[in-house]
Amino acid sequence: MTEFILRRIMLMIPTVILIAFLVYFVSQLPPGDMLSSYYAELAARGETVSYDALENLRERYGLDQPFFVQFWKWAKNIVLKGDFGQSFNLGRPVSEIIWNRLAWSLSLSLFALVISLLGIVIGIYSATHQYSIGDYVATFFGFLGLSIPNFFLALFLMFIMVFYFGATSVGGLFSPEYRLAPWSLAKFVDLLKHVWIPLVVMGTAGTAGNIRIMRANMLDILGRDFMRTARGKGLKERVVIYKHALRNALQPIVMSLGLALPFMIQGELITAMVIGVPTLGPLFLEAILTQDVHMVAGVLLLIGILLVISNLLADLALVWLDPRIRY
Amino acid sequence: MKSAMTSQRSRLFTSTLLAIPFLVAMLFGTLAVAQYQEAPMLAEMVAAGTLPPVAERLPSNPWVLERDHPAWAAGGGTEIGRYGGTIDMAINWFSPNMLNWYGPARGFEGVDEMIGRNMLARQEPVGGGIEPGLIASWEYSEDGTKLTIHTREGARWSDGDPFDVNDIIYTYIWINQNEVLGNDRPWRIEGEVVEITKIDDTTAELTANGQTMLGFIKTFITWFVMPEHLTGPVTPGYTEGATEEDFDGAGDFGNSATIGPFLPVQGDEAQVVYERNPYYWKVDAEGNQLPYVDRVVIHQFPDTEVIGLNIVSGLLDFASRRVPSDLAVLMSNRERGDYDVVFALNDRVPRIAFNMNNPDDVLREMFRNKLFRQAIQYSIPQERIGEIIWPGLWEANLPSIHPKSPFFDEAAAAAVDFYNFNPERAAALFDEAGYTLGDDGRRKMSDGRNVGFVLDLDGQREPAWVRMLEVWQTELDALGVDLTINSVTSVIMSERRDANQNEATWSFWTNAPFDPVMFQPQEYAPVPFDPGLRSATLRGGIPTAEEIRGYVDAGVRYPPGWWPAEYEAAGDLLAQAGSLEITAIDEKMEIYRQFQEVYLDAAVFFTLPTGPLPTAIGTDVGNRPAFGDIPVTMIPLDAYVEYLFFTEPQ
Repeated sequence: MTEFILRRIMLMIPTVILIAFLVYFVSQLPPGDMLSSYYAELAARGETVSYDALENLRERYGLDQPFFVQFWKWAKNIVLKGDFGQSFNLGRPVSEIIWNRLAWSLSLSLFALVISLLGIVIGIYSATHQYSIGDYVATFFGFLGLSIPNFFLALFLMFIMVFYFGATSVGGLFSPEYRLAPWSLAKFVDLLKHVWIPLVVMGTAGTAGNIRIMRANMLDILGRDFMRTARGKGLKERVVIYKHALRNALQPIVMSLGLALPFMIQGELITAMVIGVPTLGPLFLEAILTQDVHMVAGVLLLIGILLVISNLLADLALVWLDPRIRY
Repeated sequence: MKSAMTSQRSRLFTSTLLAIPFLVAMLFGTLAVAQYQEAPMLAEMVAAGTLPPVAERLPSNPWVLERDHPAWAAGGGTEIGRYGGTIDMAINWFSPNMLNWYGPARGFEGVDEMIGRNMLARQEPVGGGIEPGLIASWEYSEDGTKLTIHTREGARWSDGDPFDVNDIIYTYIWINQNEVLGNDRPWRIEGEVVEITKIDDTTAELTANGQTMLGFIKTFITWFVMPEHLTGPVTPGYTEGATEEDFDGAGDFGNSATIGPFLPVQGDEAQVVYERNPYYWKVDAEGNQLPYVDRVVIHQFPDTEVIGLNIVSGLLDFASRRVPSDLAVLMSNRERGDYDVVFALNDRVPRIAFNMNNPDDVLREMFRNKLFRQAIQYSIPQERIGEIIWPGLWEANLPSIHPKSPFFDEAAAAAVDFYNFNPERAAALFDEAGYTLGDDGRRKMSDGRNVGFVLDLDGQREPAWVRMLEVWQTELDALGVDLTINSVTSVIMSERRDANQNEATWSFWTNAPFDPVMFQPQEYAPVPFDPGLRSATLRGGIPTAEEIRGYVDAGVRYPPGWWPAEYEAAGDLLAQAGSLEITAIDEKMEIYRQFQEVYLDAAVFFTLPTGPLPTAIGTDVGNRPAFGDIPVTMIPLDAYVEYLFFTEPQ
């Protein structure tokens, strides 16, 4: 087992290097560079800047150099200094901004993930009580949760807050008076008052998905021969369900967990845009639109690394869950 | 002051118009208020000994907000406000220099208005004159080749350091022309670099190798001056060993200074807090130091719907919408959110222009056909477009001199009749231009292809713009012309333009009434977006005939015939007017009248209708300027925030 983990970790190194190369390549693909988008932005506002000044800036940011030189500089600074470069758009180091946002992204995503695990429980209930009222209710909400777009649910919840509960401000994770205040109990309570909207929105889709997957898997497993065998040898229904059926039915869900972390970081994008949550998603989108290369590549690299790590974790969980899997 | 006044009188003699700024300056200079009051939060700091008394913080002749200031004249004059409170505003884009306004993107955002822009001098919102600011007065030499400026004596930066011409000269030489920082922007007049010479700490002279400096004071309105005492030590070249990284790192919260009413003190990408500048150099008519409100908070909500919800929720005191798509919601929830809806002047006019130099020979020939362009102009259903986006509020825009300008010639405008949607006339013009209908009901170009063009726009910025074009699309379709709406990002738009791949491009033109005295052609004469024109549009100007010839001589950008002849004729007229003496009003009038005729007839570009910007403002906000006359941008920071106050205690 230890050898397996070590081997996987060693394999992660070339994988991450390849990812780094690819993300830098991809972030350079769109036509133009961050300065041409900067210029376009200025022109759209009717501002003026001279061509020479743009060329000087281009030189200053090394945008006039060949791709490999730019990539080498970028990669070298990450490995040697942990420096992901400067965000042109925000005028600050990329790493400083990303870490701050990553903390919010990860904690929101993890909480939403926990909420979505509720779907497993509901799915089990739904499958074991097939065609009961409870099953119909769960199925109804499952479909509803899957089909309502996140941005709509977010707007709807905020609309309800303003028009029916008289909220004095919506959007963001804090009331304006707490947003920049140091942490305190009152600020935490304020956070709880706001954070439920993104959590509910982000959690709903996951929960609904889990209900559907879990219900289908369970029904599939419950009809298998070994279930009849288990019941036939006189095991209690609880043991049959939780020890034999559940363990088999969980496999696809655990496998999908490997994608859950990076997926949720991207998946929260629309929700975060609408609600105005300071997570990675909106930052990433803004960076793409303004061609802030260092920021785009930094976030993509981070998502890549998260994907690699969470895949490892998911594989470990699967090994633990299913002894048949060889490594 | 005495000698300055004497020379002012001699100017008065030669030109009454020129003297307006000096009169204003004299008025402010002589009006002495014996006693000054300050905000309670500052009084506390004075009592605690952390801040000098208000009289020592103000310049010897503070700027006074008169009761009859023109921006408030429509509402019966300004009021004496009360101190305190926080004004909440919102934007849906993020401006990097809200966090670090010395950084590379410095000086280009609307936020600047609060912290620096408009502070040296300001365009009067009504009337077109120039209001003195920290440049308290100025005068031109007899021959107009020298501009002398006088900064406000005793003025200070928000950290108490004196503000004087040293800051201006430092910024001009070491920031604007600092190649290490990527700047190479000396001011030029007819190619000659403007030189600033210091006379003493409050006086400087500007010359440009014998060129006329008349009207140059305007440059200072949008110019951004840097605090020499703070950024000097980190400016490469100015200080030995300072690097660009040092410079970019400067200007964070707690380490910046402003000459504007508010200073950014705290913030992140979602919210920035601005606090009053204790050294702000303006007072009201009773000697109360401005600004009235303690703080301004700018919230960033990426989704405009959320801005709307927060207007209704009552969070925002001041918020403007780009298009009134949710006007009904705004109007029906005024009581819930405690706000009024006012309609602010919208001076950003959508304009559409063809690429006269498209590489496709047949297309190019079509775009350069004046009759074709006129037909296009008549095919725009102004009223239907207006009613969709601005029901009952829209106005047509004439692609020419602003109707409020004294040079506007109604007869010339009416003769062209471009306001009116006229499909029959359009069809006739298409036919006359040789683009007749084929058997399939589509008009044909000379090589048999269908008549049509691709119009690039940045539709993600505002989906309503695409809706406006879709209305036009159906009309063109009925006329047998294909309009392809190409909604892309601004980057792709400009890339297509640079690669000369664009056929027609949507952009905005700021259609402001221009100042008759200090008239500069590029202030209003709009330029179609031709790729080769890029450097000209970068400067925000129309190239004069002379410039075009210069380019042609250089053999690079403008090959002969780059412009259709009728464009050149218009450019020639502008150049002719620009070369006239500033006082030759009558001659100019005649040239501008001719210009209007030529320009409108040439159908250089097409404008779509616009309407005012619905702006929500808290019911308890006092001293509101005459919004109908003042352009208010997405964040209404240039709408005189320093004069607003809350009528009720907060």
